[in-house]
Amino acid sequence: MAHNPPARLPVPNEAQINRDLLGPLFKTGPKYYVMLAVLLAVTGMVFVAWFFQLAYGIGMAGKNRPSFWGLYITTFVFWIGISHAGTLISAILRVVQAEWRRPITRCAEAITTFALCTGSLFPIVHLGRAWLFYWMVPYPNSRYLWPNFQSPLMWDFIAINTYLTGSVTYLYLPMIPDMAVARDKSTGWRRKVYRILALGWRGTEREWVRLEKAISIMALIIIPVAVSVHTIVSWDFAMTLMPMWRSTIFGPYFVVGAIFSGIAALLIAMVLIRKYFKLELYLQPIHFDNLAKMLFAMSLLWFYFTFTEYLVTWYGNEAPEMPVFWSKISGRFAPLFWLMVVCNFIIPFPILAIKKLRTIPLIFFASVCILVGMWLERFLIIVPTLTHPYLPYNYGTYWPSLTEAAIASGTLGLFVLLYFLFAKFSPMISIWEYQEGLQVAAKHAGELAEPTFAGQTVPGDVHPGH
Amino acid sequence: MSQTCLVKFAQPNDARMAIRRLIQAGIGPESMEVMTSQPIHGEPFIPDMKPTKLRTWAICGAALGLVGGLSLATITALNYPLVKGGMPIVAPWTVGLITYETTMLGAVLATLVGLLVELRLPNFKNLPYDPSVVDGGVVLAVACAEDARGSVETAVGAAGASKVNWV
Repeated sequence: MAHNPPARLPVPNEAQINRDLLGPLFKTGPKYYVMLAVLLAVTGMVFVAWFFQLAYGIGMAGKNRPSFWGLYITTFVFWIGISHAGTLISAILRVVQAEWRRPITRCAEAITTFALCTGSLFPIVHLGRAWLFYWMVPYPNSRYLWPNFQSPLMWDFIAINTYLTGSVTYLYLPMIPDMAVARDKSTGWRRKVYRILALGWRGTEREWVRLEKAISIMALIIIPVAVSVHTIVSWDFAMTLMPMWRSTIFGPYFVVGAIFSGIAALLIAMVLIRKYFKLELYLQPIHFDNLAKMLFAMSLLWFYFTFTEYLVTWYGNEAPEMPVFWSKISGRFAPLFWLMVVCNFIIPFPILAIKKLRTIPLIFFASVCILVGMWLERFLIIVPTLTHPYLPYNYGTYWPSLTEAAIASGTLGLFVLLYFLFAKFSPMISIWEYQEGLQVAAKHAGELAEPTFAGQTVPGDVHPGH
Repeated sequence: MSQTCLVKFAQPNDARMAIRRLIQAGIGPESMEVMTSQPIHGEPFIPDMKPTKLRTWAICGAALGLVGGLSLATITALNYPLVKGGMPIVAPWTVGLITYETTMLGAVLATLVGLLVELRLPNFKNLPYDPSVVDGGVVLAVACAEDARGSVETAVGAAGASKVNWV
């Protein structure tokens, strides 16, 4: 019987994989320096604005009654949400042994680390007297007082630090073998740096067994930590008992939104990395398609949670909640609210649902819309409630100051800068995991009796995820 | 005097065969190490490798974190009791939250420390290593006495070694 073999994709061998994935680390063109200068300028804007705020006081941030939380806390929640892209998604995909995860995990885990670094800057900026930040550190101060652990701010501090420690560890562990490859392929000062970071890794069987075990344990630990972090962020709001912040689904609503925006951020990062590092062979349309399907599921889930949240508020018809509700649906904040619905649901729905539309450029567009929509969602959770407290004579308005806007928007530059520098320092696709994926894929395809190396599986080469 | 031989194989099975032959020739498995650029699935290269205790490390770390977090949140509250209109001085929700996070933190840190301890990393000594392994293949490092050199070369040669290097 005639048998048509499946389409074969070119599969690189180990040497080519090393060359392709380490290439961006060792080659630096003029475009890189231009981009670096732009990002440094944007990041500089954050620190200049912050300096003015420190010098002239928190009044520079335009904070006033009744809305003392504005862009800072909005952007804080936004970045903490983005941080769910990496570690959580990567851990889930590892636990379920999704083979197509392999080229994605490093990009994702780096997003988590840098989004957390960026996000955790905001509570410090928001403190005003940032130099007193260390009061949060659990130790007895000069009056022998310990921090008050009953404050949700302390919960945030502990949860974010746990997540950051876990995420950095989870990012670093799979990087060790890649650092060893970079050590063996580099010269001069780079070799010295990579030698330290590789910790003396040689790739022995004993090392691989233990590393894989450690990564799988870390994946199991990090999932509940990630869920707890955004739940605790939602409780920052819920504990204040303000209108529309008291819903029982607030925790899961935040977690769903976080994963939703996280996947969108990951897709944007992957599109850019693929284009600028010329990694088309490694980040293939199937990886975007699979993530886009996850994004679609999260879009539906987000819509469901939003609908439930607003339906229950409307049906409950409680006097303090209705002004907040109507300010979003048809009042002052309605344009932002409906823009959020368009960005998070109306635009992504057809793009992500219809197979023909799930192309890389359109997925990129949908992801950008989702990030805009999710930032608006965070804003709409915070500001309408604060401007409509329980007593109507306390109602007020909120408009961000220039300092506040500069710091909040500039952190996008800070995040991209950190990510950009990381991409020059570490391969953005885990080399050994990709190679292992080729081995596993070849074995699963049944074309080899024995696992072998990439590039040596000449007949019926298969890519991870296929 | 002991010498180390670095042998390169193109395929994992060749390395497995060489190890079997070396064991038959009287070289102990503890004198051998296999290096690859990626984890190789299937039959282990070296038989009777010690199992990892990383799970125990993680559990012990979690237990330490649990005790630490519980103590921190409880003792600090009792140390300076703040009366909050009928609410307990040691709030179970708060203690639970802090304890949960420190438990996880303990597990994370203990896993990392456990890995480094079990692998004796960082280790910057000049241990036997062939940097060409990152471009594929399997490198077998065999430590043996000088008089066993001939039998090692015969065993690895018969298994299809592509490169033999004494260091």
